[in-house]
Amino acid sequence: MGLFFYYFTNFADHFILVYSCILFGTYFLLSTVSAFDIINYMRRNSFIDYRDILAAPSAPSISIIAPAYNESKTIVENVRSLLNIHYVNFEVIIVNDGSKDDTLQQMIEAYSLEIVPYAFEEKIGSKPIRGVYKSTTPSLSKLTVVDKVNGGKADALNAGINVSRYGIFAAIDVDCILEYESLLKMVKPFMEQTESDRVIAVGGVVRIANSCEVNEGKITKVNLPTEMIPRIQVLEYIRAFY
Amino acid sequence: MKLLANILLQLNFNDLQYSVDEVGRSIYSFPVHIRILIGVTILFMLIILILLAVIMGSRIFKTKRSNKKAELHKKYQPVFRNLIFEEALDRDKVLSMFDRIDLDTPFNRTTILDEIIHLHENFTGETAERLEEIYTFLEFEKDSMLKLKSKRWYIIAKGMKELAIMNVKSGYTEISTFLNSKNEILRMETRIALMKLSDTDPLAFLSKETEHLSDWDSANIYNMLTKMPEKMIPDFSNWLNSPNRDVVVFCIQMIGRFRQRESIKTLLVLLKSPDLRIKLCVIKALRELSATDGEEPLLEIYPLENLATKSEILKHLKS
Repeated sequence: MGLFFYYFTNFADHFILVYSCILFGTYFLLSTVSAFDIINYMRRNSFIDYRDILAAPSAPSISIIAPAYNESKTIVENVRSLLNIHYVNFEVIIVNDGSKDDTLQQMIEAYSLEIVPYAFEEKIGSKPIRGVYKSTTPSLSKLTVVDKVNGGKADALNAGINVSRYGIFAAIDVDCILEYESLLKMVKPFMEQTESDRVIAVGGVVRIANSCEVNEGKITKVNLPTEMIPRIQVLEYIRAFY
Repeated sequence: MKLLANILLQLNFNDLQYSVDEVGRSIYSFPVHIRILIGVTILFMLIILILLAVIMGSRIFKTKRSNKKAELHKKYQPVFRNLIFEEALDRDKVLSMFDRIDLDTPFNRTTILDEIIHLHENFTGETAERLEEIYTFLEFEKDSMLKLKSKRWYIIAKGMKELAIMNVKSGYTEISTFLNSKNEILRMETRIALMKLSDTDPLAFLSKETEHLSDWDSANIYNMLTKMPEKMIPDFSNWLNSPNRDVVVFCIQMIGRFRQRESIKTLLVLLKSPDLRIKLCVIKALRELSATDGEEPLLEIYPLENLATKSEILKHLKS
């Protein structure tokens, strides 16, 4: 038993040493690479005007897919925020993932929705779709609401992908606030792709909006929380993403 | 403080329990891996301290620089206001308004140049011309031309941008050497600069274009074209035989966008192209041109085409 304990502690000591070295080394390497990349990104960005995409004949169309489950309190505002996104050609698909509250009813009333016959190909399997809704108001033609049986977020996204009309889709949470130029920035790599270097996906920077200043669905100022524990939470959240 | 001094004075350093040697010996009494651990911990802590010092130093440096910039901005704001609204400008008058030391110090000189560029971006017409005169009188042209000689791409790109904004025609030849650069931002800035500086043919560079022209590049060029007077828009069919396929695709798109209906016949010839991308672009352009004479050839090729092309043909027929 004593010998086992000796070898065990010896192994644990070495393991912790190696683990710490690898962890620190990896973080250090990542930070160094990121620092150079950020500098390069900022330099490149200083010559780019993303608004050029808005007038571009070749700007790709995007389907924004947002699953919603029991979001009745905020759904109307959140959908409005998504519809106000600064981009040329896009559609917003809200997937009501079998909400138990009146999420769907709220949207029907707020956006004058009605069930429509909608042809789509079921490329990816998902729980049955009860109906596809479109607004009777012409100015809301970009909005499509899909009502389906509950199946979780991934299932709701699959249903949204099946219904989407465009080649590129953006998957977000319905309560997310997209930054003013975010779609323009995300579309740029797709516009830069060549036949040999294809772009299949693009990610964005995720931040917590809790302490930020939000005005009419747009973030006007990015702030850190003032309290220490929420600050640590923000840091932990950001770290978890990268 | 007094108490601390008294304690230190009363200390007999010879009586200390451990000498440096003893500490060293006690470290060596640890097993090897613990010693490595202590070493690594000290190393990591040192790295963290150095990083913190670098971050702090950089922040202090940046804040100082930004304050200095703000000071210069405040100092020369009224000067620019006066110069812009002066009836006539001459070199001596302009030079007398600026401190010699500011024009000789690299940082201050760059800040003044950036201010002129910034103002020019926000003004047009006579005011913009006045700013161009100030730029010339202060000999910033030399600074911008010097940037083109730099080895760093972002400095070259900045120089190009300055020359293009300030309409320095003499920079055209020098700038055109970067047209086929390996750096895509530099290529893009070159194209934009050449378009701005050209008097007659803003797209002359398309004939020399050998590199890939992405959708993003096309968007930038198109955006520049939309800001130009109509008489400057060239006949895009001139480049439909270009060996660069991207140039051909771009020109087809532009024929549709700028409604160059006289090119419909040439487009119909390209409909027979084996290149699917070109074919799709032609169909889209024909739709934008509302070319009814394109319907028959489209119906002819329809049965043999793939789904994407068929879909575009149907869209054309529907419109």
